[in-house]
Amino acid sequence: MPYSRFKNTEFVALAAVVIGWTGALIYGWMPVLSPVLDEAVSAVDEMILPSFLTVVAVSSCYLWRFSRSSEQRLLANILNTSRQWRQGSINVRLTHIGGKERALQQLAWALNDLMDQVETAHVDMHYSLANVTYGDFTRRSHPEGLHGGFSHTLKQLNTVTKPLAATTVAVTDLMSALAEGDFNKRVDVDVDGEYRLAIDHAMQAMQAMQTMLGDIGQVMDGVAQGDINRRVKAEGSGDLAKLKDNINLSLSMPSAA
Amino acid sequence: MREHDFIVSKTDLTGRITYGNEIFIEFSGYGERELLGSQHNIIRHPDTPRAVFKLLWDYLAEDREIFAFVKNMSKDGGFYWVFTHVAPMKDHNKQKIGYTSVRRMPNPKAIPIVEDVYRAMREEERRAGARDAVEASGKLLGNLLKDKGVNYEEFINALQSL
Repeated sequence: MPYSRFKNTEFVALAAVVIGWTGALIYGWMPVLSPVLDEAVSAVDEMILPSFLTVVAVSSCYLWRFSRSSEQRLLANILNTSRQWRQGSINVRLTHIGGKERALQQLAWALNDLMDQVETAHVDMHYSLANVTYGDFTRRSHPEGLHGGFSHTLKQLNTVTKPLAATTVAVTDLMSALAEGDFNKRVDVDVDGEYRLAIDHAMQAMQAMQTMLGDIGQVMDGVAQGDINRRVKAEGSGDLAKLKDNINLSLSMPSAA
Repeated sequence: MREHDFIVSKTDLTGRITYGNEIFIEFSGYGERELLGSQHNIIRHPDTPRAVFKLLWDYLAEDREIFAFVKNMSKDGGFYWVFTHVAPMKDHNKQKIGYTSVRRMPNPKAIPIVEDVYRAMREEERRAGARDAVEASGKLLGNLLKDKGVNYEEFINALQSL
């Protein structure tokens, strides 16, 4: 709309246009209404231009009015929708924007774009965290297409779930090996802090089991070959220590001899 | 699609479009007024097997999100591949009010593989006839996943991460 170009001087522009149109109409109609012109044919000829000007002037007024009301509707839409966003309804969008030529329309699309970013990041985080809560670390967040902080947050989320997944897989591998009687299983995972501690503890436990059971196995081999002087020497704690003591005690009993 | 393109659209529970962002309007070739209120399948390309959409709606019916490779058709008959994510939208009372879809550029390495799979599925749909088409191509996809020893999500994520 041509009038929308006069953003900050709309009143002056409108006044200029109104004065211009009024002048043109007066100038156009003056000869027709003048008593000097008596002949009807001449009057009809003279009326063509002012009639045309009148139609254009009225159309211009109508277009201006339509342009104004569509701007006001869009502005009201923006205000109403932004109130909903403030209430947390981030899925709501501005619609029926009607193009992207006017500044207000561009603002509406920019706000939609912003809310698309907000909602997409929110939805992605929601599903990623829900999966983590249920123990599924395989879901990858998708920062592609998001900008700045939104993209950074999702990348960070992927970074957070990576060691969680790696640690869980490593501990599961160790426990599976343990269940199958394989105490030699080792895992090499690049994690730090509490994750590293969890894996180290699991591997230490397997190492202790391996040492103790290996030693017990050798002593039992000796016993089977008649050597009852051998004793379990491996260090262990808790039930392993108890097992070691019980075996050594049973080998020391007179009946063993 | 371009690398950072980000197509967003929303539908109501019946699949009627309630919102499309500027890039959606650009790629679809339709105007905002034409899109609003239209069924989302206005941009559906016949090369995407029906079973894929069945799978999509099944996931959404269970309130689950879904990722998929989809070939879309624009108004002028052209097409563009997207890696789409669709999820249910809920209001403050946790009531489902529609679906939101975000489409990104698919991994170009994945497209030939997906095209092969979809071609096989379409052939299966054609062979099975209209009534059993979806079931037949769904079964084919299920067998493919079983052969590869992965579930649907793992398959899709692996393709996008190629």
